[in-house]
Amino acid sequence: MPKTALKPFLKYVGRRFFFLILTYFVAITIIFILPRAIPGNPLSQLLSRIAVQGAANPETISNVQKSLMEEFGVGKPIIVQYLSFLGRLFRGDLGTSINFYPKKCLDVLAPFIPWTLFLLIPATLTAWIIGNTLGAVAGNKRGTWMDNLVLNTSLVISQIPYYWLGMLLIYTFSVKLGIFPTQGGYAQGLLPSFSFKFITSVLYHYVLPFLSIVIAAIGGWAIGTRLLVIYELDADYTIFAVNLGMRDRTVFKYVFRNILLPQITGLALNLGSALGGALITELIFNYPGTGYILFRALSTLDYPLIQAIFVILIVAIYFANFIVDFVYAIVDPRIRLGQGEGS
Amino acid sequence: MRGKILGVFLSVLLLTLLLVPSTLGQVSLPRNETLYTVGALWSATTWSLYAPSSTYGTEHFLYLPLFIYSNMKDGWLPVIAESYQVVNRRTLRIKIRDIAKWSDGTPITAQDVEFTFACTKEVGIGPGNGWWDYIQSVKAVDSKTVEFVMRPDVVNYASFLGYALGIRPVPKHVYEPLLKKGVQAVKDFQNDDPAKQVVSGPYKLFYTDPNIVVYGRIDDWWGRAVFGLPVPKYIGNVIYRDNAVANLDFEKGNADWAGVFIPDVSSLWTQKRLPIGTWFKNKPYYMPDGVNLLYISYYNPLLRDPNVRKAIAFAIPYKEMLDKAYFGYGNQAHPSMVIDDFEAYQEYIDRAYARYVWGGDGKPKTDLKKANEILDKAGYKRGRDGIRISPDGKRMGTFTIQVPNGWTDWMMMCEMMAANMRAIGLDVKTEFPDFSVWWTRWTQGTFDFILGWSAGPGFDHPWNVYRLVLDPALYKPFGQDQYGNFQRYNNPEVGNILKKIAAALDPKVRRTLYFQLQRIVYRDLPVIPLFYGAHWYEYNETHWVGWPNAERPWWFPAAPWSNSALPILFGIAPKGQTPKVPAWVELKAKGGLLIPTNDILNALSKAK
Repeated sequence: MPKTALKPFLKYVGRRFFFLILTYFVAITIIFILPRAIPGNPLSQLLSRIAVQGAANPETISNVQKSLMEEFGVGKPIIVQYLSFLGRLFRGDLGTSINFYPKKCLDVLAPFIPWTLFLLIPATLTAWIIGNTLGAVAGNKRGTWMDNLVLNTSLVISQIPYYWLGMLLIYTFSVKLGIFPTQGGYAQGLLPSFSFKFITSVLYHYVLPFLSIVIAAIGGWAIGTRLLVIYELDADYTIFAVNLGMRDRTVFKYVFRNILLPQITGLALNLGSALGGALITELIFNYPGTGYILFRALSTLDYPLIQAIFVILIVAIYFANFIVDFVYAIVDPRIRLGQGEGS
Repeated sequence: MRGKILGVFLSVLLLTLLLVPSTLGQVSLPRNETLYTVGALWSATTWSLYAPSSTYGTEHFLYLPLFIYSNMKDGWLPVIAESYQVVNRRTLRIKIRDIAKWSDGTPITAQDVEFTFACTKEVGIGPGNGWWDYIQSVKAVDSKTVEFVMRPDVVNYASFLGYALGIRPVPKHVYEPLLKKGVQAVKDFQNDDPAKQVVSGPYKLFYTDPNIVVYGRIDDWWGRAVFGLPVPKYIGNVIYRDNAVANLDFEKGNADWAGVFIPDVSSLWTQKRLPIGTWFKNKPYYMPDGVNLLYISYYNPLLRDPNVRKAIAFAIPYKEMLDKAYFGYGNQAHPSMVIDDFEAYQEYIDRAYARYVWGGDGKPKTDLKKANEILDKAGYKRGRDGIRISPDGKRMGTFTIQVPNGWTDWMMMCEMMAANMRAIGLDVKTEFPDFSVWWTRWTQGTFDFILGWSAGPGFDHPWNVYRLVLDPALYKPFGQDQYGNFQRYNNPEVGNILKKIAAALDPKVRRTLYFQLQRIVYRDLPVIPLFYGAHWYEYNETHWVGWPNAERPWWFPAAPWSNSALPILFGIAPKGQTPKVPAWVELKAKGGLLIPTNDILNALSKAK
């Protein structure tokens, strides 16, 4: 990289970084406020569990409530809670979960994260690759039967709610045909181990949730890519290249590279948000991912756990976003140089 | 391209598996040695008792109490304890079994019991929480004898005995070093390392992840000589997403021992022909577990008039509710709040007076005509829209009746009650908020009508229900949290009677006092008893047989979630083998080990 190009580049990266910090701050403030805006007592599930477990002794419940209220600062002014949340966050402490008390939020989340990444990264990549390929082929053969087939199927598939697709898969393949299991990450009674039996069981349980995400996502990618290809095929440089007598394949190669740029952004953002899990898919398949635990946290108003999940999620998305910006600046000289002109 | 996908796929798979603990040598649990339970749907928290809510199994299989109480036999099974001795009317000594040992070989001592109470008081949560309100001191007399002294100012035998006999001691040598570090160290203790767990029970943690908690039997458990060993080598509690998923797995035979609401349960054996059973073969299928009430708060002045309350009591469609919404899983509750399904409690009901007030067999029957008459007579005239106007000119409504969203059976009941209340000229609509919202309103008294639970059978029944529902000591202003006296009924007379009952050892005296209380309850109607909630208990005999039921009632409580159901694990057997009920589950008089509650009360009343 020539020296003259470096300064605007650093400026660009620096500016992105500043906005990143600013929006991050706004985001964590929102995730602090939102769960608290939901009416209800976050200790209710925990307390009712004690009540139901037999010892419905009013003293016990009152004492536990008192002790927990102190510990979690529930009932203190919201600004005090907010400052203590920020203070702890600054020290890297995401707090203790209410419903999994005394487990730390990070300890609660840790076992779910690998499962979610294991489900979502391959599924997102597969959908991206298949979707883009289909879209590109369709766009290139615009107006043919293949284009019609891809476009129409994609339109239909991308509009199917993915949870409904999940339920449909369960109904067809698990309940009716009995080929695949209905729920879980692996067969009941197995203990996780590096054994053939366990790995095959995991893969067996993996098929349906994987398919439900891939199928639902392919359509969107394909439609997007097809449009981009058509747009690029009409661009001046393509027409120029065609008129020069370049082979179709070569032209398509250039076109494909150009359309990949926006699609990479989409992919990166998708992968960034993968940490949040596929909430409803994981719920339907009772799959032990972060989406599942997020649902639990939300339905029990477990403030610290909700916050922890979103803090991690936001960091991941921002990180992905930042990487994309960074990669862009390297890949696309227009962006890098644009910063220099602006000032 | 394809190679790349495969590459990513495999590397992620590898990564996942590396992150999962792979130190376990064993690959799967042998099905014929593993008992699967259903009912505790929440994930693991901690295996320490010093937590608001420990992981399912901690107090069921890991830490034993001094005595386990069976409400069906009204007797106490000495587990860690061997015997009791009444020193005087305020002092009880409990002898701990000589052979009782923690799983690390350290003897279980009176010092452990003493420490457990002291630690709870210091930490604010833990076993025997709140004991200091009733017990003056807990002292180790010698290494195997612990002495409990009741507070002189609060004579309450129910609570005194409940705390003393039911305490689950923790190992002092594990907790004392933690307590020295501070209260927070005790609270934060997760006790999740199977190698380091020090327990008193026949099981300890074997494996856990977000899907499942597995307990493994301790084959050289100290209690073997007295009780034998529990039969299942492993107990697995699968954490299901919700009841529907859990029920499906239970039907398939993947789970054996359930404690969940199953709609139309009898169809499982009458239509689907599955080897599934509940306590009774026919209605009500389940034993009663508690008194469910219609709480009518004193928050809204229009609902304070006992006439209105009485009219509502006659308007509720009891039978229809139980048949249609509850699948017949319970009986109409007696208006006295005493569970009349249990023989032992019947003597506490003033039957003649109940018949006089409510007619018929003493339980109010749905009678809209009568309900209307009561309101007409009390001066509630119908307005143009059919809704009544109170004597001081206020429209009777709109009131709401609420239960948490998703509790489908209770939601349906609310709809039925609201419809009947509208029929007698009260404008009532249903509302189904989120559980946490419902809980807040219930515990703060800020509601019109709420369908809620109270307390259940126990050695202190019906006192436990009366004190939870009526005790003015639990009275708090509207808007403040209080578990108990939800409707905010403030009657000092009731408080006095409750105190007297708690202090009475003579059953005759208690009976008279209960009769007095029932007169007040029928007059003021602070709540309206609706039905007995079911003790959810189902078993699937695909893999395990010998479960207790109405025909072989060898142990109750029987639900997996009950912390008094441990003996069941000693009397079941894998399919194909003959189950053998242990002899010790019987009362002493019948050759078992159970001590009747009355023996203890008599000993106390004879003492000085």
